[in-house]
Amino acid sequence: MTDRSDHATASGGSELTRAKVRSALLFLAPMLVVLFLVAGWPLIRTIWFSFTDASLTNIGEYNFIGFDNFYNSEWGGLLSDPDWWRAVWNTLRFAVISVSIETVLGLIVALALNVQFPGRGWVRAAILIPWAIPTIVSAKMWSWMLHDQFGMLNDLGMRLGMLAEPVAWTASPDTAMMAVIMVDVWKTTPFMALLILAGLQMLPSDCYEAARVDGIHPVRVFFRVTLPLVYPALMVAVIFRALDALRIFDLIYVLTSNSKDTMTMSVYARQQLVDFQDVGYGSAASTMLFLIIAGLTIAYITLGKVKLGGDVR
Amino acid sequence: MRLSARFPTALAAALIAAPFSVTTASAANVSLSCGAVGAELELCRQGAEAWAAKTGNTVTIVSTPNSTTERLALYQQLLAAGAKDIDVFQIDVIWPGILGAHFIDLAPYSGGAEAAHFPAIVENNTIGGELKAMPWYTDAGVLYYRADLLEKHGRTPPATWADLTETAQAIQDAERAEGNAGMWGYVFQGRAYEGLTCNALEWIDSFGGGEIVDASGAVTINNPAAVQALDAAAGWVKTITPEGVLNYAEEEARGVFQSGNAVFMRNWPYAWSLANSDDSPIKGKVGVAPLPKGGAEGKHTGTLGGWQLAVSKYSEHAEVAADLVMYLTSPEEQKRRAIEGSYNPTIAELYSDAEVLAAAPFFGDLYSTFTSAVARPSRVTGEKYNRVSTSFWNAVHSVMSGQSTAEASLASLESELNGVKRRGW
Amino acid sequence: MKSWSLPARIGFPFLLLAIALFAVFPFYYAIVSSLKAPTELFTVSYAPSLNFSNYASVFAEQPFGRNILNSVVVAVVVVALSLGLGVTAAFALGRVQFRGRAALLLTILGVSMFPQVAVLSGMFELIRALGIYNSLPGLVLANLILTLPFTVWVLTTFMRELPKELEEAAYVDGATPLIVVRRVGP
Repeated sequence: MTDRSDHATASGGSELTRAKVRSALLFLAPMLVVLFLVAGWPLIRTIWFSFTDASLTNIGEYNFIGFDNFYNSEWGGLLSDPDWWRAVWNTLRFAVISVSIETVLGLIVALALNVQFPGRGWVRAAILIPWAIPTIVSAKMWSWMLHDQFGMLNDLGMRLGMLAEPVAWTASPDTAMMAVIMVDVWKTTPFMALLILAGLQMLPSDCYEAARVDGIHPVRVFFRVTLPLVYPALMVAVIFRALDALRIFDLIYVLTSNSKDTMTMSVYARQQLVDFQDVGYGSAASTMLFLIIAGLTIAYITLGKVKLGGDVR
Repeated sequence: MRLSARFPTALAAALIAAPFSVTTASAANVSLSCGAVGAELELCRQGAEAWAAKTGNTVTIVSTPNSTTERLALYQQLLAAGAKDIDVFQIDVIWPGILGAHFIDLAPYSGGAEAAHFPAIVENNTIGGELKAMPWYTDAGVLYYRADLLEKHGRTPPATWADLTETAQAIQDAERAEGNAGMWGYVFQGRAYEGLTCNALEWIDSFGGGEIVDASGAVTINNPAAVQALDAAAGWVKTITPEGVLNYAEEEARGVFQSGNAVFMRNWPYAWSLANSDDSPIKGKVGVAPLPKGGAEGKHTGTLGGWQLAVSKYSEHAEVAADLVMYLTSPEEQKRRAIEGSYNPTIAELYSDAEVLAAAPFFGDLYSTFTSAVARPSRVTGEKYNRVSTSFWNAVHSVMSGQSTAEASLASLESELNGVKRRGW
Repeated sequence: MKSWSLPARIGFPFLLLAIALFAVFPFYYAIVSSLKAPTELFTVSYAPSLNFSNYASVFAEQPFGRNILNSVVVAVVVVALSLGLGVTAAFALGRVQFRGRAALLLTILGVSMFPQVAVLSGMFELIRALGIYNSLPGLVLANLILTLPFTVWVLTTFMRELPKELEEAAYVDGATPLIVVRRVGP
């Protein structure tokens, strides 16, 4: 997909080009102003607050305390708070496991939907349902199904003989993270599946024809032909999902509230900010989270450029 | 496809005007936040509408989250933003210290009515010499038991926690042997939230382990009696208590007990009238007793709960709102709530009222529990109370879920609380 | 599918059934639960019993109709604003070459990757200062951070695909870029 508007400036600064650039900047201005207002300014303010001891009860009055929220010898600070590091670990664990499962399952679903069969449209619509339902709604739905006494999952498990007694899915520290990952997989596999499906449908069919004529086993076809070709689309989906998973909040909060076993960085920051009213400390946590995600995004972009350079389109 | 630029602006202007209701000079609309679901909301609504009919104003009930932790977070945001959305707030007994700065002094409007209420609660609600909230109902943790099951198996209500454990185990095993597979011994609030702080404080205080932080601000939680208490409690999980208790709040525990699947339950007095309502499977089979002692040298105790009514200082009709507060906390209204919903009055003379005692006999039997309930350290820790409570309930929860021992947990809790203390309380 | 082996052809419908069931069953169970009478809620059943009392009480006890209206209004306003701001910006980003365009596009994409909690304290202060806490304009403002970057990015991709000839013909006829956006773009 080449960008044909490159040709316009190749001829140098003609009057039309200059007019176009001027109006382009004019067009961009309103959007950039609004974006600054809703994203840029609050972010700057949050970073500012992380160097103060502001409190939610009176957000107007605060003192500047430098890096004390991050680290200080008196009471520790963010970087020496074991709860913060546990939250970081929970977030990473959640992101890695759920994105891996979603990728594999999404691939299977996409491959299945790539086949022409009657009623394909219906199945495609059906798998969109988990993605379409708002997260809060589906989290509440699942928390009721996961209820240890009256939940359907325990009921089914016991009837089928797979469970000896009801499991406290969201309460027990062993299973809480598993339960959260399960719900996230349920919710996001359709997203991955559809992205991969889009990639699959753009693949040239002559490779498959050739493989079929040669009589190659379908599994080998998949690993040698399909997977390498769909790899770019797959990677884009994975990266988007991974960045999303790192900043997850609503699912964890609704299913397990402020439980330490599943607390992610976002939940931690919110707890400091809202529950403890500590705007300074909470903003420090938010800033750290932002830096981590920004760092990973920049790493992806830089590495991605290297990859795209060597890509054959 | 043409987008008119004026459309969103006009719409936005209309939106800004729409949410603010127009008030006339004579009839004010007071918005009240009290209760979220079921019977509590209904009782509040009835009382508010009675006042509205009497005074010619209107009342809007604003629904707020059922969990006290979430409700506090909402209130804090609202009040920090100076929002006028809610005039009268129903606040927990531990919140005057945290939210007091946002409420008006009710003393000029009360006409001395607070003298009839329990002095300890009035003092709890007085911050900086100002009466920030009127007591509405008080609460203390009590032990509910299935009188029919105890009788059937020849047991009496337990006096110590050891008795309770043994009785619960015996009845649970016997009932399960008879085919009642879903029967458990004891349910309570074990989720990691404020309710667990209440439960755990009861266990610890009943063994003589103190109150987490004492009146002078010193951290006293790490002591052998507290270790003993938590060990006992952790022993219940998976033996007489389902593991799901780690995610139970008041309603989940009540659901298990009221559907007939538990022998004992720890809950607040409100569960009494619900357990005896017409569609309750255990109607007429429930008894109430004070929570057991820690041992022979322990004491019967219950965590002091209870809710108050306060008027926001950002309200546009503070006087009218204060009048609503005085009506709702008056003896007549408290008596009605006591009879219909078993909400404990905060006025001493109502505890000798015949009709109240007929509806909830245990109000008389447990009177000393209510007047000597153990308070959480919210006054001492002030704004830091939330942090203290969160650290405490997390420490207890990790012991209950088997992730750490009581000694280790309480030791690290002590150093954590001392760290918070260094930031000022 | 004709070239498939027999086990694959038999197994495939089961796979599809599993996928569809996996996706739809929780939603189905939620509907079944919502149609139960209040006392039935503590028992597990999979067949719907058509009791609409829960729906009635949702609308009676909560101002749910008002809630739905609020959602619709906020959605309409946010979409309108995003599209309005996004179309013009996307035209500039998609059709006109200028310095720093790639960096700007990546920054806008980056905004959609913001962890929402990172802007929480700043946004709270802003909304409080503007006095729109707990009102629909406040909601609209907060939602814009979610929709605006994504809208701009998607529209830019579409703008890039537009045939160049139409636009150049318009310029040759003497149109200004603004007219091009309003007439040719849609």
